[in-house]
Amino acid sequence: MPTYEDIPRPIEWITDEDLQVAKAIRKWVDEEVWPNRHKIDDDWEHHEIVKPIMKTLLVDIGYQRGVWPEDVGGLGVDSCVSFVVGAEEIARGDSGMCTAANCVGWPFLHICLPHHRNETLIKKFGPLFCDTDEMFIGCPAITDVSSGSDVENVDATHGKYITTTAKLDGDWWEINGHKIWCTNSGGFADLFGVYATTKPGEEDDEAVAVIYVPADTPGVTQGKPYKKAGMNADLNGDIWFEKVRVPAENRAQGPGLDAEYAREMISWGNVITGGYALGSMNRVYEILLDWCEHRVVAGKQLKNHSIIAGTLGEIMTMIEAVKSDTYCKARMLDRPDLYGPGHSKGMLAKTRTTKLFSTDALTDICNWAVDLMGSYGYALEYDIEKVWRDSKIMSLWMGGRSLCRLDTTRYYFNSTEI
Amino acid sequence: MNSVVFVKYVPDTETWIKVARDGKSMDPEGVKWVMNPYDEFGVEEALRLKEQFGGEVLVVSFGPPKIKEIVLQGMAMGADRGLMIIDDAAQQSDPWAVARALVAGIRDFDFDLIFCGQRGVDQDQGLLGPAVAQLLDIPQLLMVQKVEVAEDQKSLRVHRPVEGRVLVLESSLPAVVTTTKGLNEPRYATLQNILKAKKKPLDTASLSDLDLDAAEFGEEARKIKVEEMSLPPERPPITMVQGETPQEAAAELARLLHEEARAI
Repeated sequence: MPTYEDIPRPIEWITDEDLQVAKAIRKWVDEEVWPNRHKIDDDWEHHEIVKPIMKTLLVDIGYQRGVWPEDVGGLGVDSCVSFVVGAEEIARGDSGMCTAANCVGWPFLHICLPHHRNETLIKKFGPLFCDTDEMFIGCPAITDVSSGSDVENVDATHGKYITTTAKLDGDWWEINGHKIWCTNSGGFADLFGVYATTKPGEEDDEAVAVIYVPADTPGVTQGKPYKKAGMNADLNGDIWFEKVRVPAENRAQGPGLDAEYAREMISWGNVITGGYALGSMNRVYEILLDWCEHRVVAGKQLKNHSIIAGTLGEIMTMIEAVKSDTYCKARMLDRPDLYGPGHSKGMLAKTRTTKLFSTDALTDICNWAVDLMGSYGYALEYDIEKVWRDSKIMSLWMGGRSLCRLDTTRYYFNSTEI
Repeated sequence: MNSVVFVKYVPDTETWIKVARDGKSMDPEGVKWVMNPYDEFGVEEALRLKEQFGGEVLVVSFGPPKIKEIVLQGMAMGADRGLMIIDDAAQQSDPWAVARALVAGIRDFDFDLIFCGQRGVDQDQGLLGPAVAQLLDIPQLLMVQKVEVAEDQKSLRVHRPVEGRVLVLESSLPAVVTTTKGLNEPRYATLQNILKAKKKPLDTASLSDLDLDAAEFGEEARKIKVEEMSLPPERPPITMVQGETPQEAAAELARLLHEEARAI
């Protein structure tokens, strides 16, 4: 009987090391994550169950060292394909954990990717993640309380609606603002990558600043985690910055470059979201495989009823298509020499389609799967409802479905007024 | 304390096994292959001894090119080096032939202990460990659940479960230890070790590189011939015991066991 590993993907782009990482994560998922799946939602506030499981991934397996260069004890992973392989495996266990784990390193792509390393900040922050036996948690603090996805809408707003401000005062930044929905907030984070503006209300890419702020800096307050419909292994909450002072060197790159690499970070986020969606789809496939094999109706296995078989075929077609597209775009990000830099408007648009397509497909697949299982699909013990609940937020984050469409159209149709 | 771990590529225990058309082998289509779970205990134990006493751990496998995956897995767990004995003649070789290849592969490695699983989960023969010990003329300690190496690293003491009790055995070194469930909990391969494994020595050899004659391996050379392979018969349907109360259900269960199953 095939497994999710038989769903085609381009193995010539996947290294032996990627496969070993996948194997280690699969073991962790099968032994620690999936057996605890029913407890994770109840643990949404305190993470008493979630944290030890996350620690195995982040510290024992070493995922939190991922993006950091080897000279500070990191693993120097700079391949988007590698991250998609990992995301597929983690999200097969729990897409919330996948989100939390990947956001530990995501804000530091700004300073760690090979073509724009910031050596000072790598030496300053890298050892905190790499030279420790404890979890050290990064958090992308992007969404402002009053501007939603406008922060991520870099090419239309150019920072105009960022309401978190950064003011240079000698050798120090003073930061004021209120962020919401940040992954790994809710009291979990140790180090924020804060999106701020140095010129409030102005449309100017040079004003967009990404500044790293330790969570224990005076003036930083993390609120309680939100109670959500799903994805409860990922904590989201408010963060307030009140006269927070950090050294001027904590800015990721500088005027203009922070906005440019923000676009790159979104490109990577789009594709890795495709990896999360694939991991969830892998789990949906496994659940359906088992259900349709063992459920017998009118004397026949469910898989042998033509109306069911038709839906199953549709689901597999969608999964195959998402897998092909996601790996294709990941490979494109790994080869800027062939496809252009990840911060180009072209790559942003091409990865936006991946996010839109993969997350919409996941929503559809989960709906079909729940329909196919009938009322059982709505019951906790049959598992599909968790994937269904967890999945929706993937299409909402990073600007949601609408911004995916706008960035795509801007590039392909040269629409200059949207 | 240098250790060798022999690892075998076997079908995942959750894979659906089908008999091939020849009626005496497994159909490889759709089979997922993994490191024999009993061998993973061996890798873990060798790593623990290395951490305790120092030394090196060598992971060795014999088979088709895909054995690279499990040798790398051993190195990703922390082994220092790997050896892949890759040869078409590996297919259908019996345990005696496999033991000859593996022993030839480690002839230049100065080892204190050899670990292998007490059996492969594919054919469940449990012959490799004894065959290796026989070929090397060293002690064999089978189905081991606990390993204690003496401080002077010249002897070891092991625990072997027997019929609900434990047999405590002592042996000189070098020796062969076959590992079983309960010995340890194999560690996760860490990302750091996975990436480090790229830089560790991984050698490849064919049977002729080891001065062995491929004609003495494979199906034709088997001392144990497989005449026929079949799947276990399907289980009869389950009877759900009915009853308004636990007492009624228990009475009905007793009746079924007595009158229908004739078990009591």
